[in-house]
Amino acid sequence: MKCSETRRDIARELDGELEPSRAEALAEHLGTCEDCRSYRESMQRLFSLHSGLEEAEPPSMLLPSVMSAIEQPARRDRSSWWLRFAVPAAAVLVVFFGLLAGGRLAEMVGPVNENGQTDFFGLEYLEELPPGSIGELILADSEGGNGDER
Amino acid sequence: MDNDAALMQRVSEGDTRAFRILVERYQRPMYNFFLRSTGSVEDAEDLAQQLFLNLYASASRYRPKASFKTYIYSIASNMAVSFARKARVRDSVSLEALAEGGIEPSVKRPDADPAREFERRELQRNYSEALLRLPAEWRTAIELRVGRELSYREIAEAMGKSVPAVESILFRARERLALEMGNRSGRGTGNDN
Repeated sequence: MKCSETRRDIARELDGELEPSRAEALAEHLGTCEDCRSYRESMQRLFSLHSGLEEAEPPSMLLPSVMSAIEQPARRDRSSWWLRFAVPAAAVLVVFFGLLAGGRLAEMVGPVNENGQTDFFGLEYLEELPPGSIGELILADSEGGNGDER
Repeated sequence: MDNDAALMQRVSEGDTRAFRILVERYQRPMYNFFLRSTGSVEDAEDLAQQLFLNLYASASRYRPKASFKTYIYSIASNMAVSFARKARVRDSVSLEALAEGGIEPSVKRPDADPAREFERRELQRNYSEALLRLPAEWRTAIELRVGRELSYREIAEAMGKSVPAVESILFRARERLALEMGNRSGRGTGNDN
């Protein structure tokens, strides 16, 4: 076995990836080659330097910040879904009740004329107005005449 | 399907509690992976956060073909390599960055002898520095193998390479590290003399 091949096998062996069929040949070579033995020792030291590095604790805010970042858009989505339907529905309701209330109010306040229609102007009340008053002038105008003709 | 893959399946159905479990489980390895890739606490935190957001956003596309571990490390590896390309971490790394970056060497079992402990810390500091000077892809492969204990096959899947290509990267990376560490100790001896 050549030393160059052995070095690849040393790396595999230290990584726990050397096939058992090659392990015996490696051991045999290491028994006779001092250079490869010293190479193996230096590699082993390198491995232990890396595996000896201590693991740091992750920042305490990492988990909360990740969770809040993924939960906020979900909350926003839920509220925007609700608003998408609520705003037009509220507008329709306002218009509907507005019309309803307007109709009722007209029925309550305005008198009905001979055609069964609500007289929004309430002009019949003006019939008993004093002569020369503004109300009489309006009444005369609505009947197609004027105060002088009468 | 492994347990994490089952959790990810639930995440794809909108289960945020399953996602929380995955973040709790992986925040430490991911943060440390990025810490060793970038040498910066801030960048490691940003990258880890972005990784989990990417993971959540892509949950609907997740298909449990490989293990979840390989899947998450494939996202992390791509992010680390592209971050290094953009930030040119290799060129900008300095002792100050290392000290600020939180990969100030700390050992798992400190030595009782202060002198030996100091020497050991110096060695690990030099090693961390040498690691950050490697090309991003090599550094990623080393960290996945030794730091995260992934097999050659898992690294190949995570990095989108063949197993022989991964072996070759690891081999070259170690040769470079050994050379750098050897040169450093050589320089150190020279200075001492």
